[in-house]
Amino acid sequence: MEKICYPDNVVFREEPEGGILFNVDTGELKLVEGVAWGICDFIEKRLLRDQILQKLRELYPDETEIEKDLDNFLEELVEAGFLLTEE
Amino acid sequence: MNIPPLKHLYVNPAGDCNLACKHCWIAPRRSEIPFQTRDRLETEFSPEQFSGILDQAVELGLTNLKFTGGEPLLRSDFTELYRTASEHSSNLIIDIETNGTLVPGGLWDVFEEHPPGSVAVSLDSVTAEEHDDFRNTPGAWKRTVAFTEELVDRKISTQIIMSSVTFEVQPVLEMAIFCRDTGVSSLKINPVQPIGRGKRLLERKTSIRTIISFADELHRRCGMSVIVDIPPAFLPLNRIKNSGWCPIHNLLGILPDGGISFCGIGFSCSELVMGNFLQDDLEDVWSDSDLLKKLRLQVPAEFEGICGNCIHKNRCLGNCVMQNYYSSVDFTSTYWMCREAEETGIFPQTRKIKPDA
Repeated sequence: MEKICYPDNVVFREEPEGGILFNVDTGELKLVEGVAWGICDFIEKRLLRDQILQKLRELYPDETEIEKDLDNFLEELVEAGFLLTEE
Repeated sequence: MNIPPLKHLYVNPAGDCNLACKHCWIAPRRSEIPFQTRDRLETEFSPEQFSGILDQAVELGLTNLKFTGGEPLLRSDFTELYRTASEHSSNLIIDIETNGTLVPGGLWDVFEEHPPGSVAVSLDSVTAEEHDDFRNTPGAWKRTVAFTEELVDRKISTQIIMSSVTFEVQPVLEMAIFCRDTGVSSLKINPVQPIGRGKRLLERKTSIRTIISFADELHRRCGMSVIVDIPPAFLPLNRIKNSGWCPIHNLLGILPDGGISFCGIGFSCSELVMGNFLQDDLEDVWSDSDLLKKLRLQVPAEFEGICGNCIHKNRCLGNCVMQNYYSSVDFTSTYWMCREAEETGIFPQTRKIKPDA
């Protein structure tokens, strides 16, 4: 899971309280807040998975499970059809 | 086309009401004596007949039943209707919407045996004079407050529904304090709709900008304890998850004469009555009604205007399809608040499928 991006039918919108992932074909919505919102913003800016991990480690140096949490979240997005990955 | 489960029944045992509220969307006939229940009319379904439709509805997937109206507690045999429903299926959640001014015989006993899921009581002001004026009935406030306190004492989940015409924040804040002090579970604010008597009331036009500001202010000052019933496009993200929307694709309304409609809209639009459960098989209506087929086909796939371009359309479903139908005789037309927001340029761009260029 190196390169990650939103599929063509998924848009990411940002608001003052968080972000919205929206699948224009299915109408599915996912609301993201906090760290998840930040990760979605990094994906929108086309950062690679490792670059996002690096950013999170800088932001949360005391978090020991950050890599696992990131991968779980990305997996969740993939399963819900909000994210594409390439090795 | 897939036929969804029928999860919700809105049951209207009485077509009339003992109050004559200025905003009522159904505008029912007023009963003769303000604070007295009455016997079942010959034209109204009986508890035995009601049992028959429950058998069929449970087969179709029924999980939630709401007694509403007209005033459901107007009927002196309400307790029998309630008992019939509550003993029908242990999994059935039964809610009640009432003005809280009537107590049919045996009500508290049957609530003790079979507690309702929740009871929503209409109360429009912490001031008796204002509430009674809005409800066109002196003495209503005192009875409604006593009814609410009794519900809370009996640990029944209780919601106050407050109608707002003026969209002033202060009266809501006062009501929120009343709810907190009384122990009421939640406070829901219903903007008056331009339907039935509410249509005349809203002629003193309130701008959509005022309604949105009103909701924002309440969210800021009251947090999650106050629910303002406006479309999700106008809610901040942290509010959307906890908001409920009309389950129109999984819902039928039962009218006092056994008529089957989408909800209480059958009171106002007789062309939306699809059958009568006293003669028709409910499953046949649910699967074969041309009106239901049309609704399933058009909502939300063929929504017009801003509703068709809204990212919430699959869940919001036009906020109130029947309100939209009432104003345009079309299931696909746009909800009035969203249309006005779009026309005045304040519909949030982030909530549009295709934002303006």
